[in-house]
Amino acid sequence: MKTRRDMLKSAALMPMLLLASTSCSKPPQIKDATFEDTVKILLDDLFPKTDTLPSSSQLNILDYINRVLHSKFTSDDDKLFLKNGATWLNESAVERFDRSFHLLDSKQRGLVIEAILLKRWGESFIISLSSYYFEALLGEPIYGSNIDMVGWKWLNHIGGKPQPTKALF
Amino acid sequence: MKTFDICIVGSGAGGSPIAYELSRAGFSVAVFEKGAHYNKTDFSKDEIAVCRRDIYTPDLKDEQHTIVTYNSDGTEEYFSGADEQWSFWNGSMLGGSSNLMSGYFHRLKPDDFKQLSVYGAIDGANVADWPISYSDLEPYYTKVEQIVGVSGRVVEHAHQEPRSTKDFAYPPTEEQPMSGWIDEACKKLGFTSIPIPRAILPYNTELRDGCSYSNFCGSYGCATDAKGSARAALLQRIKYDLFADSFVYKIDADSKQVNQIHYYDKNHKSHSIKAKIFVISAQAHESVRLLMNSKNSDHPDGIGNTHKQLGKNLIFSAGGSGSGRILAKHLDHKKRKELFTRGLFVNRSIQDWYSYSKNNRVIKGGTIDFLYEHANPIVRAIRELRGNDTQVLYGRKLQKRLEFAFKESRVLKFEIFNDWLPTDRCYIGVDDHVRDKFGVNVGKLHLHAHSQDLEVGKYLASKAQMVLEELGAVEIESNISAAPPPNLIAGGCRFGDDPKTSVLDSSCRVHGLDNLYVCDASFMPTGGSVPYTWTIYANSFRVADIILQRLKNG
Repeated sequence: MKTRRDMLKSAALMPMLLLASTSCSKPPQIKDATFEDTVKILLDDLFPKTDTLPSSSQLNILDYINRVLHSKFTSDDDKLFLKNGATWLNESAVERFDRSFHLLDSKQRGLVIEAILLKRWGESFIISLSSYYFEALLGEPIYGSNIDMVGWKWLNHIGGKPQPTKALF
Repeated sequence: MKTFDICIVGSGAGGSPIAYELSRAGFSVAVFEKGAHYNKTDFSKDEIAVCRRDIYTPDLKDEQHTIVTYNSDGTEEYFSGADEQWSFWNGSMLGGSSNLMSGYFHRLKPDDFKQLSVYGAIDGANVADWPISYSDLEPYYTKVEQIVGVSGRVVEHAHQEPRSTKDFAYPPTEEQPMSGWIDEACKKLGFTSIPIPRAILPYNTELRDGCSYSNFCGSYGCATDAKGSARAALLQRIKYDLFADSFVYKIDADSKQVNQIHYYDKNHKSHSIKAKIFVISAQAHESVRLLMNSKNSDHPDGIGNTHKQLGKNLIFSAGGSGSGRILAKHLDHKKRKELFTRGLFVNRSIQDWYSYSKNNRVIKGGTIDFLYEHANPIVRAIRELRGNDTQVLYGRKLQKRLEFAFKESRVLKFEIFNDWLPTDRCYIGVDDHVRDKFGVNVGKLHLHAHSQDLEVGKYLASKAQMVLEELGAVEIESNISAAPPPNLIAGGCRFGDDPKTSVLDSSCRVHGLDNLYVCDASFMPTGGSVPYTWTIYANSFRVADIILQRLKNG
């Protein structure tokens, strides 16, 4: 059942879909950066390791993102936008520092992130990736990243019962 | 081919009371459901599956609605539901969307049945009196309290509707301490807070367990069957022939009656079923679509559309929602503990402005319900991505914001329900150019909200915000818009005494057809200012009595 809360969720996705389907220029090939290289280090920048929260790498967030990319429950538009977003991020990094995003130092990466957040596609890409990060960290442990309920413990959250016995994807 | 006594298309709150009553009286009943047959053991609190992916509704690539909105200059704008990911599906499963409701149950008031007489005509709106009165429906509201199970506590207030019983059939569910805070705030403001009746059992009954206070209710299927879904409360208690995963796509009717219906099974193979009486209860917009897609030489514009009334006066629940954040740092230890008490229901509502005066005119108002924000941590975290600013946060700033949001504060929400006035510009037809995976033309919704809908919604939101301010909340905001909530849809098969201005007669039978009834929210000429589910249940029990009498009389 769609509720008013769900409508907000749909509304948040709309700009993303629009960008995915109307992007006018073919993204340039970034030969020395894979999707995984780019997203792995971007996730660590967006969600740094703390005393209570392991790094995105330690939580296998990238594995979850890859499951999203291969899931029938993710629309083709959303999959394309995630991939395009990583490519466009690299394009921005090359434009500014002549190197792919994952080869930049921390300060340079921060400047690239700040720059893309000023663009509509960039903001939508960061929101999209962050949303999937939250799904992984704060979703059911059965999906593989909320290891020992670390995300729930971090925010004093208690999951609902009964818990699922099988992941959706 | 077996001929059933009654064939019901749609297993939600509209169809199930009729199945329940007819089966218990010994008649043969067939129930068609497009979705799957889930039981309580199939339901978990998987936040990703339930709230982030639409596992209980069709893939929009396979089945969608198309949508038309109006620009300010009056021109139309067309949207593909599939392209825009704009869904008007609700729960596609046995018991329908009643499985996923929050179960906020309010009765309509006597004046809701005669809005034209009481409030007068409104320019640009097709307000009409109902052909039945509150007193006709009251016994059935009571029946729903007892059979489906409504828990609550009667508190007298200015707009309390008359009751034939002193109190609810079940005592209230356990309340979150915030309920008392709201009571205190309202008292200071001179408002009357009332407990919200819930279609949730507080304790175990014969086949259903009481609420487990899991903290995950609305949008989720109930794992204890405490929630009064049509499946849990009615269908599991009767014997009937279930046709699940079966999509009814056409009704065969001559000039006097329906002879059979046609449906596709999950392998897209077509079959037919005969019955003495047919009931369509597929949700308002889908019932209209089925009637329109069933046109033939006797019904060239669709069944029930002799006077071009079918699909007209589509309505939703107008209003919207708002919220404020209660900060823990301002609270002593006891109050802090109360703020974070989990699982229990806030259950508070205000109906002081169900009608109110403005410029010497009595205006139809509505209902304010309070609730904590949805428990799903993913949705809550996403909401914090912008903090209390417009800029997207990341890194330690975002992590600190999340720690504050989850551990140092709690968001109290309100929802506004007021009338979505019926107009000529809000209606449903079929799209001649778009078909679903079965090759059947999809429904095409024309959406328009009357300006009064927004004015009333904003007025009520301003009152709700006063309560939040009195509670000391910060970051108070509200969102009252013309966006139609897809889970609160009604109209399209208006009932009335005059066939020229209505589709159904007062018994919800299609004018001119002897054995076809439509029984979901589509019969409603006006919506009232509460969620519809209790009224849908009550009206269907009323229609069940009419059909029962008819069958008993042979």
